[in-house]
Amino acid sequence: MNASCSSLFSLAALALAGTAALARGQSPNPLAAAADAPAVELPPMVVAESAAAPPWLYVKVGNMEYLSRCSAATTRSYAEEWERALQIMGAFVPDSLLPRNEIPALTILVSQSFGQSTSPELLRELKQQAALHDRARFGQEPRAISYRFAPNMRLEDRDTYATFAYVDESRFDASRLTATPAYLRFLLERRVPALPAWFIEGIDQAYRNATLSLDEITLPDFSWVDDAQTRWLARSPDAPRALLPASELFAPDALRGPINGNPQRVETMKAQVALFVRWALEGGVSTRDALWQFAARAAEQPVTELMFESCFGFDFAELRDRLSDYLPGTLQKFPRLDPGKLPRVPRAAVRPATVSEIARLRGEWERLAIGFVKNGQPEVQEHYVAQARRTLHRAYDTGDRDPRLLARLGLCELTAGDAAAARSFLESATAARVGRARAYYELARLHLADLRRDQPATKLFSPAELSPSLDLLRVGARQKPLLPEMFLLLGDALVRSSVAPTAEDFVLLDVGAAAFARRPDVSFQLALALARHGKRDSAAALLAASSDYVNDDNLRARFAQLRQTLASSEPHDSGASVSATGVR
Amino acid sequence: MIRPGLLLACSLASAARLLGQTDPFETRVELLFRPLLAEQMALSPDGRRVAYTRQAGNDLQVIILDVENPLAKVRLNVDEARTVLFAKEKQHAQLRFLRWATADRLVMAPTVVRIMVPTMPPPSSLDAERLLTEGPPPKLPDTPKITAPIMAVDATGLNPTELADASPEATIAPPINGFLTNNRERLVVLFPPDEGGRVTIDVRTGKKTELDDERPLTTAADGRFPFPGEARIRAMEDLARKFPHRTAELLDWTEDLQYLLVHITGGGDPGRVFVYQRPLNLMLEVFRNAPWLNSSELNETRAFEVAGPDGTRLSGCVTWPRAPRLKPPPLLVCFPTKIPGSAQPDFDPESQLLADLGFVVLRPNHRFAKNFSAQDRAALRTGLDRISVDDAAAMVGKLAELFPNRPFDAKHIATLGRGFGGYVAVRALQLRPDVFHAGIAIDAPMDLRRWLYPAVFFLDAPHPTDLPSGIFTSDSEELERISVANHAASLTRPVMFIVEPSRNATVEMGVSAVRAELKKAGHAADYLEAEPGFALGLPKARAAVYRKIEEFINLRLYDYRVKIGPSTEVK
Repeated sequence: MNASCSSLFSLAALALAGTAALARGQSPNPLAAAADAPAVELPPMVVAESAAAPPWLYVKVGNMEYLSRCSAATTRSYAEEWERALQIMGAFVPDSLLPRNEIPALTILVSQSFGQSTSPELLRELKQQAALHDRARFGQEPRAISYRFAPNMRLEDRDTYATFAYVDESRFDASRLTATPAYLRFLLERRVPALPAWFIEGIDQAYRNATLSLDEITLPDFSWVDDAQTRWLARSPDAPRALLPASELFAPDALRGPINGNPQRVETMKAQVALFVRWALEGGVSTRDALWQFAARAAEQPVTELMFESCFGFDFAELRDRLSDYLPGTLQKFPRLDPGKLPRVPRAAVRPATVSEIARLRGEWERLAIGFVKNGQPEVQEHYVAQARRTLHRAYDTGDRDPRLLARLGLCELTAGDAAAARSFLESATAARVGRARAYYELARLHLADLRRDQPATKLFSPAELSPSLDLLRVGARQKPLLPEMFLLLGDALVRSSVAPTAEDFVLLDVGAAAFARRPDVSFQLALALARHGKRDSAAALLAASSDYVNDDNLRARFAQLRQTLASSEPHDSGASVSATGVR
Repeated sequence: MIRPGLLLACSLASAARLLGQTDPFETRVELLFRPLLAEQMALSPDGRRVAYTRQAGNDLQVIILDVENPLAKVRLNVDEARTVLFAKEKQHAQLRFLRWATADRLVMAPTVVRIMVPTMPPPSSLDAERLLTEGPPPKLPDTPKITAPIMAVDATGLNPTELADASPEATIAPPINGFLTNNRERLVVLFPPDEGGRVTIDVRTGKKTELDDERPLTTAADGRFPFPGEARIRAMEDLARKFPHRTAELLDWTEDLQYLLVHITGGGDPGRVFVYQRPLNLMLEVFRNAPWLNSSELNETRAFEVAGPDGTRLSGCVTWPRAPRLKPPPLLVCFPTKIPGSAQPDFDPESQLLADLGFVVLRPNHRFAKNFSAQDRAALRTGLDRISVDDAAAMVGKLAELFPNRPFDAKHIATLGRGFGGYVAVRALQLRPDVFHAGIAIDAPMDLRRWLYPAVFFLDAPHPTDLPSGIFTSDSEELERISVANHAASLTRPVMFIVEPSRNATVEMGVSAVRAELKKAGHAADYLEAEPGFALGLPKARAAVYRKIEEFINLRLYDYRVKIGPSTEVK
């Protein structure tokens, strides 16, 4: 499992709104050591379930599930205002450019007044680890290590993410809640098909430091390349300025190569994408819509001038001119955006959480935490595994067979390294048609690994042999979010198939090709599968469309080899020259 | 029925005038028609500095721009506007040479100034005979004198040096013949043999050295480094990729061709100058021809080519309104004034203004604009009107196909032209009323015979220069056939005549005849006598005329079946 952490997710404002003390690491960090000690940040973990503890509350607003140990009022206002914050974010990015996910994201809120509830065993273990660490530094300057639980944190998996936040309810002001630039960037980067880098960078820079409110959004001041150039242009609108032609601004290889990669060009590129997005956002509804439409299309296929023109109504050269003319005027300006009339946020129906919900949602957080500590602090991994198992089994052991719970149990065991246990939970979850793409992928991967074990690399498999994997992939590949590894595996399985794929499989290959056009590794695998089964033209087209995105020499060589093979084989050759292992 | 949206702009402009505010339309006219900064430019051999000329009032300035520190501009007054005999206006000064000798030394030479007017009488046949036998007469004390200094200055603006000037007896400026290839500090100048002949001048000290070598290695006469053909092609290809649909012109370059000074025009933009920094692959914009115009307020223009009815490649420019008032917007075809003329520039103030008013503006080039042969001359003899009209109709037909995302209203197409172009604009209504639905003719001849041969009819009018000479003779029958006036009855589409106060008598006569005929036929033409300022290009007068054009099109193009009342004469 890929888990990563980004502390202070969405809580730059939340810190202002009531968690400042937490952010400074005071109250809930009994393990905090001296200020100069290297602090290892751990995901927060709630283990205490005493009768005195306030009940867990549950609410779902939009595509976010909340499990809260704050008051109902705080939980409601948080959930509603968060939804409002997302609506305001919509002035920068519409829903259509955000990731689609069938699994709701998760937020766990814990009142700061509830205090620290981490397991005493874990605390003891961590203190021992710290002491061991000190002893291990024999001969060196003794230096204490400290562990601290992050006051708030976001953890993510391939197909979901979760946030944990301690809230100081006495100071909490939901109206100051905003989505941070890091969160917006995180969403933009998860979108499938992948948004072009220039769009993500441009939106990020426009959103960063913007003043956000319900009535008005003010963009921050603008800086062009560096202080000197900004100063020149501010003082003299006619001062020279270098802008990239639009054809280069939107090209995936614009900064590739020694000349194109020079710092001046890179900085110009960065400044210019920010300028472009700012110009489009400030330009009014029609230009803003054109930007979004253009970004959506650029995510699916390489940018062309025709594509740009059909969105904006003028050509590449004129865009360069317009940006150049817009530049001096915007340096000393704070453009205002009208967020428009925002729809009413539905009232959040907060209610006590069921045992199943508590297990499923807390279990999800704790499962994600395993992945995080596994990478950074494997010495404490077992505690997190034990805690996640405990939480998930609390419902399972009482007979709860919610497929979502089963899928989480399976993924938890996978993260913990117990593939056998994982397989049984995943079999049950997928049999119940759980909405969790990763469950299908992981199970298919296990099946395919079994099938290939001790087999030569060129061995082809019968439909019956591949069926357990392919059937899972066929379901999983239709669920959101689309996972690139799902299509890599599908391509791999089809390359090893002794018979031609079904029509449905070809449709799925097309879906994968469109969704991951910017992932040349995926495109290559899909092209291989297409070529292997006689779709030479489609394979060649796929390689051609993705070749601009290849950054890796090894992959570039494989691209070239496959293209050469495709070009040299006869039209009636039905891909015979493409073997199960790739190119002959 | 009149479309209300079209009249709104007129109403707003009128309201602004009534309130005594500056009319934004007049301001727009002034900005669009303001003369472009057509500068001379040079790039230093290290690519770091650009020198360019600029008119500042009556002064000709040279600006030295350091692209690495653009705020530290150096401004040098190098010349001033010249008085023109018998004219109120002065003529802007220009340079005959502007080039960097080295990275920090700039050489420039103003154009020749004649400081005395020649007073010698024209030579008689006796003088000519004497010239042949005795040679030129001795120079008289009042022989015209000239100043033609060649100057050099540091990049900092310091150490100005006059390198040379014409001798007191010279009647032409000594030609500059570039720099020595192996030493750009030596400027090559050709003086008359008795004044030293071919010399090199040290650009720092002004010291002259006679050039012994008969065939010295020099740069091009304009001082630029050589630019081999292959490399030039590659550079132009690069520029075409960077600026699609634009025209690139190489102005200057460094010896290693790593820095190029490039002028880019087209697409509705009046033009910009860039330093193409090839080591960085960056295009540094250093200069705009019209910095007072913001590209976001200009209407997009695209040059295009299509196949004509007989397969000939036809070319033109089309300008689309940034904010059309109607969807789809009407089309206005603006015929070129001269035949064959030359290809029209992408940026055209009038087209911009008409596009501001909501029209798609098509400017066809004459089919012979690129190449005019003797055979073409014969073709004009029998198809002077037809060729232009049919070609324009063909372009209109192909426009939708060529730009499918840019629709226009094919049922509302008007024509416009000046001089001969105005004649074609009206003739188009006679020849192709199925395509063209209204027309505006500015100072346009309706009777070509009288216009081309005024003296034959004892009319006091200058001979027009809009047509190549020798196509017709004064008794050509073809002129009868193609006369608008002779076929006025066939003019059923609405037409507006605009004449200037100092109008050509033949124009006035032709227009009057056509108007009278049309009145008789019951569909009087609109008529506008432009204010005196129109010819001088004064914004207010210009704006007034364009407003009337807009009104005419709104009323007649969109409602031409409504019974038209008596024509009104606007003075």
